[in-house]
Amino acid sequence: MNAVTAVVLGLLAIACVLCVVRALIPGTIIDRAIALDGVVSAIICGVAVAAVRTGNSTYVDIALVGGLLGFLTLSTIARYVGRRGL
Amino acid sequence: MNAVVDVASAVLMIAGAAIAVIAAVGLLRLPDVFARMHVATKPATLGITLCLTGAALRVSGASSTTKLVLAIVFQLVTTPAAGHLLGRAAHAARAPMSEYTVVDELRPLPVHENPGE
Repeated sequence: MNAVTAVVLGLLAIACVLCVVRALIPGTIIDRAIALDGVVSAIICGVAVAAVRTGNSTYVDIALVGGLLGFLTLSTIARYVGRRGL
Repeated sequence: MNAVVDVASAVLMIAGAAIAVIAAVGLLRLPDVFARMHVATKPATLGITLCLTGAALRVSGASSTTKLVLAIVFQLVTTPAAGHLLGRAAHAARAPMSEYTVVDELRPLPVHENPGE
């Protein structure tokens, strides 16, 4: 099981790096918000996998809170773009 | 029985991580904001559902499993709402569209020159 979780965490790290590259490329604010939301969802997956890997159930709470924060961030940015434009 | 659960959990977690990688590649390659938004909501729903289901099969304790199921449900409810909000905001702010765009259902309706005739 340790090998499996290591592979999964490696894949998620690759996904994180690609998303950060997307966020660094010049683009609209929405592009960047979406790319950073990709990082958040990779982190949520990674935290859940870390709960399996370490057997520490505190990580599960972090996954729950991460989902809440991701929604809050995206809707805030949508409101900001709606008022001010791109 | 334990081995079956282990294998199912491993397959689910690897599938979720693979979807996250594919979506990140799509973020880099797709042409406009709306296409990228389309690809970005896949890991946020399907990827997280698969990964968290895999973890829920394997964590110890009923409370952890319940919290993971709650996180999945919450993610499935909020991600489409957030994507919808962002998409409408992007369209209202006139985000540029790719030349391959086929249909734009939010475009303003055409105005008739002689209303009432």
